[in-house]
Amino acid sequence: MTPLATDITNNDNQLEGTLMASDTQADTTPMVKVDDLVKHFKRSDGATVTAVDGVSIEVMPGEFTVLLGPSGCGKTTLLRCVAGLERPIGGRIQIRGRTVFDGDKKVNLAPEHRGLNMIFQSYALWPHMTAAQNVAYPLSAQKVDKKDIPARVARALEMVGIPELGKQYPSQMSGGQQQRVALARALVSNSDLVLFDEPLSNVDAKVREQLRFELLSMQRDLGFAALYVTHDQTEAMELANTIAVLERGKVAQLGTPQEIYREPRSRYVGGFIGTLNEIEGTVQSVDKGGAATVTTAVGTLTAASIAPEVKAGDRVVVVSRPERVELATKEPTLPNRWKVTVETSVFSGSRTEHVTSFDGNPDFRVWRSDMELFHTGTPAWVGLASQDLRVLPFGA
Amino acid sequence: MTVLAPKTPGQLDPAVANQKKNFRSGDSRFTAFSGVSLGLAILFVLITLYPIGITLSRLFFPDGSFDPGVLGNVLSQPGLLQILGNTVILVLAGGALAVVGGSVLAWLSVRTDAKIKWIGGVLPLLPFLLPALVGTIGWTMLLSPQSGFINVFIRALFAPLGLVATQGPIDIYSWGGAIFIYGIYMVPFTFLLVAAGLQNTDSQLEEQSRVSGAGIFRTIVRVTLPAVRPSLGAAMLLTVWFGFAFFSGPAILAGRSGIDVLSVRIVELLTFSYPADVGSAVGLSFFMLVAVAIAWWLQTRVLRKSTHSTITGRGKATEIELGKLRWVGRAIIIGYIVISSVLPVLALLWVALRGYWSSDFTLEGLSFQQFYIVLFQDALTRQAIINSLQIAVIGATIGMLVAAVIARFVQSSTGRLGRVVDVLIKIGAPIPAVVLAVGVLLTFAGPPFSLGGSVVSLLVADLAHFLPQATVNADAAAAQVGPQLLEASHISGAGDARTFGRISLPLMLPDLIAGWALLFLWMFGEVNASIILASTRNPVVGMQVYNLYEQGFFGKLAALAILVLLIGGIVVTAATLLARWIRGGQTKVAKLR
Repeated sequence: MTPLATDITNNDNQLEGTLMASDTQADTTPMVKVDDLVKHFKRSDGATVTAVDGVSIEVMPGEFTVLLGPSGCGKTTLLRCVAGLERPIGGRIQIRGRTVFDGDKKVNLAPEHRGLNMIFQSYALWPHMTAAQNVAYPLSAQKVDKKDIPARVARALEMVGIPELGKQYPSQMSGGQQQRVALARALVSNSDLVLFDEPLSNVDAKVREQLRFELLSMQRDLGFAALYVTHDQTEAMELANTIAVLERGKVAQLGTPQEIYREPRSRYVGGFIGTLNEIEGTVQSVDKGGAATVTTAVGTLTAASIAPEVKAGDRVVVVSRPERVELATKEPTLPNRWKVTVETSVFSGSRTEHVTSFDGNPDFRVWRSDMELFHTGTPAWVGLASQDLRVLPFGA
Repeated sequence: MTVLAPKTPGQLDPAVANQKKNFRSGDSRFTAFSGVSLGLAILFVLITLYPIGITLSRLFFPDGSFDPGVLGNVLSQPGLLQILGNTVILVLAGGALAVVGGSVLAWLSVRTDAKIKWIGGVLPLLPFLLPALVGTIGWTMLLSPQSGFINVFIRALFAPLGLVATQGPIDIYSWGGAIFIYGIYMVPFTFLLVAAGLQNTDSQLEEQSRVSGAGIFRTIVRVTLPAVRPSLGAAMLLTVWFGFAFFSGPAILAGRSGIDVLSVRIVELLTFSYPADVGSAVGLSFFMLVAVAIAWWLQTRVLRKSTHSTITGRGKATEIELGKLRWVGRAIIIGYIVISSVLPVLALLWVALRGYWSSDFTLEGLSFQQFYIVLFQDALTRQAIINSLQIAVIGATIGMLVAAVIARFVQSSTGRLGRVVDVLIKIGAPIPAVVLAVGVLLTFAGPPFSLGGSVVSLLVADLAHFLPQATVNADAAAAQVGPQLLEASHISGAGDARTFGRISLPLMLPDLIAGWALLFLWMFGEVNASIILASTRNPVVGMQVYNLYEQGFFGKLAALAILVLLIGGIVVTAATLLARWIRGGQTKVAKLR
């Protein structure tokens, strides 16, 4: 938000001696290193559920990593394992190069000794303490000199934009204000690692957008590493340097937001992050440049981008993003084109959404930025450049 | 660096030992705190279950080997059928009265504009504030055939008409009187269950019925009653549980009405017959235990089932406007309070101030002399008050602390162990105090404990009897503190001690204090176990009130009873104010996940 944020980091000493080590070798030692982590839960009927199934990820200092997936994919469990709130059954976790969990060596550091901070989905503000007392708590727990606490609390509250609310109790605040107190409490001790468990899911859409923006600028200013859990793909793409898409306890894909959006590894990833058009087909050939020719119900398609495991003869799906598709009444010149019937056309403000159909493909979506609407039943052409088509394995 | 479950520290090399304080041991859940909690839980489960086990073994294994003879003796006891029959009749008739009365009060208080807010809150507390023993004695003073105040008043009313009588017209020492006493002192329990059922039912269901053209009464019959049917069923079963164990009411009436019931007979066999017929008492206790256990078990099943049909997402419950009938509704609510509490207390107060049970209503000679005697002159009543205060203060404090520790342990342990502890600690809830007292007597009176007639044996019986209830209150307190509030504290760098002191305890304290006050009330006014366990050398107030009634010292009795109510009222008020003050400026403790 404001430049005040920076002088907090400059003025104050680091949390623990171990932090200094990570500063000197900042580029090589990951802030968090999770290695082959496994966590089981016993359901009430006695069945075992594998919530985290051999996950390995790294978060570098200053990096913003988002764990993305639907509910039940294990993302929150993974985060809680890093925090020390759940006990994994196997694997290793290192924070700043120090082992905090090791399943083989029976090491499991308590959360209070891991030197990190966390923001909970429910904010977990203590209702019997004022905002200022809530924010002061980590400082007194970490034995910071009593004289320094009020000033640091005031600065933290100012940084999150609520300097005047220090004396209020959480129950007297709005959801957005509570969220800011939680943020101040997480940032006041200047930890270089902050965990977020769906922190924005309890505030309304307008506040959420504002808080997301502020959170991002604070993270860039203060430079802490963030591990952030969400099921909201827009949130993930706006915040992340790196996204890990989780699927049933495993990392389905790890990459930058652009990579994950443009080059999903599977239909699951592509479908979870945005809308995906899918056309089934069989691979005829794969050329040396990595382009594939695929036989489909709409004709033979050439796709410039293919998933690594796809070979000639495979059953595949050819996927595309709706906003990359051309739609016209005249035949386009693009290499991939076929005739369709427009089923519906809806203007939704920032774009116009068309649903088109072709034999066997009743639900092919096209988003255009112009405002032209088509009558239902209008015959039209869709067209796609080869680089806007990607070939994915059929399974999953 | 392998750090497993606690070993002897000497075996660890210094480096590992240094690390150790930072690491949770092999099972991260099992800390020193867990160990202490588990030990306490086991101790208190034993305190409840061991005496019951001793009782049952006396019954079936009188001389170490299985012998059905004792049970046979019990079954062939003269008058057994009569006693069982009496008990069943009173339980069913009183229960029916209580279910109807409690339901009407609940409906008026939850669904209509006749409700009186503070009464709705006080009603479930009534059995604690006004022990049934005191209430029943108050009613004998009102409705005793010769000198009951109401009878005297009625006779005086009709005297000018030439109707002169020396007794009647109403006799509390009768079937009707007994059913009346059972009924009014069961109402708070049925009220609580039905009111909860109504609160969980969306009032929109009823509004839909009204909109569809049905009147109030058709709506009650077709919509409201079916919706709260599980609560009604549970209320009926709860009256069976309460009724079989109910002692103080029938005990007061039995002497003159001759209506003997199970609980009264058990106490008689142990205390008023010489030598004490322990074998028969144990046999009858077995009957009572079976009856109440079945009723209790069915009741929890009915309630658990009903949660499936609970309608969630209710909006703000709207009140039915009764119009002119509103005042009838109010009269019914106020009438219940007057009948169950105000009238008997006024009768007692009158007798206490007067000094003796007299129906000449004059203000002359009213004095506080009886209170002075009870407090300072009569060694027995004085000792009884001191003993009861000691038991209640020590018992409530131990009970609430233990309950709080166990509740936190159960809440924080996710495994099977926590659930087992929870079930075991609550398994004693339905066991009647009379049965428990028999068990405590058999277990602790003789060597090696030799605690017969001592205050300690009473304390043990009270703790065993009330701890399950105390843990229910403590559970509610612990549930106030969502797990994320504790996790956030650990994440902030605080250890177990700081987290408990700064977060758990302050948030639980108001509820713990309220729970403490309830425990205090229960233990202070306890009658059932006291009569069996206390001795004349070590009297307690419940037993002393009963003895003074039997001996006919009504002035002293009334003064003592009023003092019991006063002390209870003061403690509850003080505890409520303290709890409110602790919550302090916070508007409300939000329940956070």
